[in-house]
Amino acid sequence: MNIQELYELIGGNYERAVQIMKKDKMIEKYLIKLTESALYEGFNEAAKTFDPVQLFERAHAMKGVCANLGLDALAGAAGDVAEEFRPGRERAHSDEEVRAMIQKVDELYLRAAGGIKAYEASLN
Amino acid sequence: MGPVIIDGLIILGSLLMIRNIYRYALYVKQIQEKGEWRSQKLTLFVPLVLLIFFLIGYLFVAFYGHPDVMMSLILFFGSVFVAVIVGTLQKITKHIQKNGQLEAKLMAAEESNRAKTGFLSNMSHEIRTPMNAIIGIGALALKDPEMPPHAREQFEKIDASARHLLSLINDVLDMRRIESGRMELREELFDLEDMLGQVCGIIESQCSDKGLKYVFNSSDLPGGSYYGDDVKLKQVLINILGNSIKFTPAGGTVSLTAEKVSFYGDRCAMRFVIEDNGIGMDKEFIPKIFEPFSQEDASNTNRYGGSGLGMSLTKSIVDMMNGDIQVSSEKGKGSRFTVSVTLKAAPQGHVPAEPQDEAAGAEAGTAAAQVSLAGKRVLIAEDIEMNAEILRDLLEMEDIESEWAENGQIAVDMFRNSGERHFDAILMDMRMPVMDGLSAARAIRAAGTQEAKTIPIIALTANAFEEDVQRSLQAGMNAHLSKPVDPDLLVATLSELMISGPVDSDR
Repeated sequence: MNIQELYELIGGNYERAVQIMKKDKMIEKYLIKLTESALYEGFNEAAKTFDPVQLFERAHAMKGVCANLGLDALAGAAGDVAEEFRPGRERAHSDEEVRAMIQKVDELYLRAAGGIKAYEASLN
Repeated sequence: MGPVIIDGLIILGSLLMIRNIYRYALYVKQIQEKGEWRSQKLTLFVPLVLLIFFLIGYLFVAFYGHPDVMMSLILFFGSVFVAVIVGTLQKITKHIQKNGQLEAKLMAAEESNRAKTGFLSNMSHEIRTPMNAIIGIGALALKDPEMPPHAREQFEKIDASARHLLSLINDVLDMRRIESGRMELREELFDLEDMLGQVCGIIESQCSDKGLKYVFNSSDLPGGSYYGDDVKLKQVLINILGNSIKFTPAGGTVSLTAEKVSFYGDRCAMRFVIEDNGIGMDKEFIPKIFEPFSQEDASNTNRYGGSGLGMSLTKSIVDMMNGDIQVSSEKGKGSRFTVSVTLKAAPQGHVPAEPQDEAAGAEAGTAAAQVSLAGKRVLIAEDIEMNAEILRDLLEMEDIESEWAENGQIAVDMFRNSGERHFDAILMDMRMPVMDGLSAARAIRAAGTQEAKTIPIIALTANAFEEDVQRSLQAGMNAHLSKPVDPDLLVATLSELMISGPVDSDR
């Protein structure tokens, strides 16, 4: 499996990833780092406590990293959660709706992480 | 005598003509039933020529008489002509039919190939998607430090099996790609020592797991960067080394020797020799080793596993590289594989080439940057470590050094405490804890020195609304870039600000 196929598999935007990261090797490096980082765990922790400040910070961080990697859907989903808890703004959705948004982030992340791990396995 | 001969010719000609006209009629009927329009057109040829025959005969009789002679000649030679024509038409029709059948077979084969490729692609997606879930969730579960040892062992087995299954699928798909001509080799700059280092890292680990000794020798190989497909070359070496590990019992040795054969111009012919003292192969099997699904002993499939495609894939990739692979082996003593390839060496000090960029402006900026930004140093103020790392790597591609501050306050302290002209520019994220980008920019500009007033500060933010741009400029920043940052735009902006010189922030 090559990087392009990986992106097709996980529903990412390969062209955008190449535009930002320039090389497949860079993309590969940071995709693997994404799954090894504490980014998702941090988001999960914040989701469990439902702390607005933490949720904003963690979702914002996920959005930024995923946007760099062309993981548009995941970046968008994380961004939706971040916007809900942006300081200085009123909440636009109920807790239940927000939990659904968090669930969407979970699903998209697991799909991406699974694909990345499978890709990593194919390198060895 | 003469009239007898003529009468005989008339009778014979008549019989032949009746017979051949009958054959001709049968042929026409056959063509019409099969609906072969091309042959139908050819059948018009016969009556036309016969008509001409009769016309000529009629004119001859009109001028010279002897109708009985003319009649016998027309009947006899006419029937011979019809026989020849019908025979020729039948051959042409058979040829057309055969071509049609071949065309139909070709279309059927192509359709089957497309269906096979489509099936494999769809199946690979269908298989890989749930496997992603297995591998991904397994990996996440294994990260839990509180997992009981027994459960951890089970998860590790699941993970190993899933990865093995995935490698089998990948082998099959790679083979299909090669067979259908869809696999292409990349031509990218790579560091040979790095690539071999990665191979050794993987193989050392596998050897250690099996209790094998691994020896690597590259003393005779010139280092440096080369153009080629390092991923495929790595795949070739790992495939062969993996095979050696598979067929070498514990206590044995597997070795990789990388050496230069010759250097001519910018081309380096190199050789990679993989040896083991494993079970070896019968000499009769060696010519078959690169055939798909060939294994010397069918029981090896059960004992050692594998798709049977690894060596076939390896050979196909080496052939695509215009390389060569040789095998020697002795049963019970071990095997030796020699892979020879020629790679183009990059000029010394060459920076890895960037992908083609159609935007002339960005190209010009990048080209200028390679000359003028190399050696510059940028302070990156960004709270998300991975984003900062990405920026650092992108800058490093342009030979730009960087240092990282994880919030605005640290960025201000680093700038104030650094030596004069230590930093050539600052990339400032807007949203940071402790001190945000706007506050940090104001603090830096307020430091009082000429450098503090003039150092280029570029705002990085997900928001690119006009008010955000205005706020950035009012805080003393020189430019505003939206995230995710386009590296070409970043370099062009840095180049413009660093080379042309920033505007004094005291306006």
